[in-house]
Amino acid sequence: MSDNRELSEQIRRNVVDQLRWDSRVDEADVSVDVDGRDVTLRGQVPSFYGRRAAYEDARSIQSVRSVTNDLKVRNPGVEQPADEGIEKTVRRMLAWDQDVDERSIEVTVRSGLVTLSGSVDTLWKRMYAEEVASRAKGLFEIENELTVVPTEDVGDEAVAARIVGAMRRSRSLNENEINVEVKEGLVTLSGLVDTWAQHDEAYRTVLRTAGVRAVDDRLILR
Amino acid sequence: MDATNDRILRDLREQLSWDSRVDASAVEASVEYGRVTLSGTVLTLSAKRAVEEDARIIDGVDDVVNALEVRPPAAGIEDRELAEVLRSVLGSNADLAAGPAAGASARDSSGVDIRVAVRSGLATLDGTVDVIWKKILAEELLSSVRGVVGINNRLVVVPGGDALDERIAEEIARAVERSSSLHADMLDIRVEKGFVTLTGSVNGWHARHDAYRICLSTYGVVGVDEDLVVR
Repeated sequence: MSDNRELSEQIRRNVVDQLRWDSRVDEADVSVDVDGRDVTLRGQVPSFYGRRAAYEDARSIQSVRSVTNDLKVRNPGVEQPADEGIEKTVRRMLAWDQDVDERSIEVTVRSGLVTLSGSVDTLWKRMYAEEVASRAKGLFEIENELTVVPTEDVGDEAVAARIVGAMRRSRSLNENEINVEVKEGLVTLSGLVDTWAQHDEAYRTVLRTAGVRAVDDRLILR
Repeated sequence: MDATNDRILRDLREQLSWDSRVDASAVEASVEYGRVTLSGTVLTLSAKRAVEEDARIIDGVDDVVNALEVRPPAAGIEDRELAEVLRSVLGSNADLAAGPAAGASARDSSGVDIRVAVRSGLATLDGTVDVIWKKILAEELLSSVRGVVGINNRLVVVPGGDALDERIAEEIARAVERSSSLHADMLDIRVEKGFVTLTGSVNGWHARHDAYRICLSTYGVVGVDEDLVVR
């Protein structure tokens, strides 16, 4: 029991040090809680980029099993523009991006909350549109209601085969240790991976596979 | 050896037809002793990068020469107009443009001063940033903008305060020790005037990337030369 507490405390100290070290993260208003080997981040950071960096920092620490990211994005130094201003900025960022078809994406802003709706043809575009939008200065809340509508129906078996094939070609993934199940375009990933980097690569592989509508990530770190 | 080359080439073709991010119909590839050379054309700079990523992921590939040409569809945007768009993309980014001191010039407070020039779709970035990840971020943001065919990133990293080499090396070493994917005793970290040279070995391809990322996130680092052996 006390060993457990010692390990938790060591993880907590390491996460705090990591956030303090990382020049991408303003950690002044971040608090770190550790229960066993599970980390929870709370408080606020100035940008979505910093929010993601803090999450990756916590995850990279030795012995960490999971990270819950409850960080909010707030920046008291930046005045939040009026809704129309945010909407204009987000629309422009989406329109200028060559990988986003902004005509199929609706942007609405209510009291600072940005909502993306409409449809895209692949899952990576759904995530990517959110990332592009969330880079905008003065944007603190975003809701992604985009749905994925694949342009052709290739069938679940073919989608699964595509995913497993990509994993087989990868130098870092072992397709025999990752289970891929596809049901009506919803992919469930389960099994064991050795590192978070492997986890991320497996997840990205699914996102980039045509025909995937959504992913349920149940991979476990060994 | 030929058998390996053939297998790599076959895997690469499959990989490119699998990747929903790219239209690789005009991409050509050759393989020699684990070195992949990419030629031909793609429509966007992000596709050029995605194709390279697809090649590097394949088992047995040691190196990739990316000679792909970016040829956007006709009716391209004018250079002057594109430069305006690029400035606007940088200016509306939360991490590059936001200085914490409200009212004061964002440039003064954040140490970021980026100038953009465009010629035939090739963007050149000049000026300064205070941390190296902002240099990388600026390039990343612009490489997905419609009409950009290439980026010449000449941004110089000028850390705000005093960043001593010993201190930087120590910060990197500590981050490596905290990391679950790296082993401090397998790495040699040298820092000279903020320039980091990483040598030694890492376990696996991802760990190499982790070591590089650690350098990019460390305050005071102005450049990274990574020459790690993957075991």
